[in-house]
Amino acid sequence: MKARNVDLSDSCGVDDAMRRIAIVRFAEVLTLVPALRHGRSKDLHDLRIACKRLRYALERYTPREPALLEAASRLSQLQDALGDLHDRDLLLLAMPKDLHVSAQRVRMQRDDALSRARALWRDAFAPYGPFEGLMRFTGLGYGFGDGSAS
Amino acid sequence: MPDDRIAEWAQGLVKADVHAFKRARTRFLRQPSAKRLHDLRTTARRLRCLHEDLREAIPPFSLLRLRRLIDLTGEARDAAVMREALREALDVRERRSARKLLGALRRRELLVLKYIAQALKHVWPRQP
Repeated sequence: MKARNVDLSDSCGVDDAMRRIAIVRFAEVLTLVPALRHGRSKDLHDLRIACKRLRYALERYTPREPALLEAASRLSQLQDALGDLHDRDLLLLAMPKDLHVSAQRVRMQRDDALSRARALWRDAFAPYGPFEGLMRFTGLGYGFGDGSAS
Repeated sequence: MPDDRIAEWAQGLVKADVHAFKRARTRFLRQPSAKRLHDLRTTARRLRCLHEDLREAIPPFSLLRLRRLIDLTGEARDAAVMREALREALDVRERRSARKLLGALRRRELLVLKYIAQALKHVWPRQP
């Protein structure tokens, strides 16, 4: 999925530019998060890429905005879980048909990774949870902690 | 066009990321390893993301070769990770059937590592 362009033409200062970028990247993640519910591989892959973009942006801002550190760390965990899932999807595609038992194990690992990603997402929106600082910084994400991904 | 403070900040970020990428490139070329491949891939992807975030605030530069490098490092990483995941999940009764795929993944990884070394000679010799 192509990254959305960030309009910085009339931004007033570095803090405002940081906020605008974080808003666009967080909005991309929020748009793609229904993938955690339906579990489709392509959409989960796009979500992982969006989490990565947001995380990289936040990691650059933490020296100025330490409150974003926890969100960056949670996004990293989420990215790992979604990465494990993606690796299993690729492996299942490459596996020959006669590896029934092994494929079944890989499918179970995929399901575990998806459950892990769902739990990490849900828990991120808890009061004083990892996304608290990010939600305050961007003004986005309120109402997402109500089980929307489970 | 964003104001000078943003342009200055953006230039500083690009400079830091280019420096990190160049350091990872040197280390990988000196002695390739899974860890160094990971660092190379991560620094290249950070640089691409930075460009996507700040393209309005920094002088334009081509990402073509960097993108190619990211694709190649992704291929090498995928082959290595899939091999590891298959080994981990493999049932002993199916070991024989998996041998062909494990071999193909290893060959693919080695071939792509060669491509990466070649691609690194051309990617970004100068500061953007």
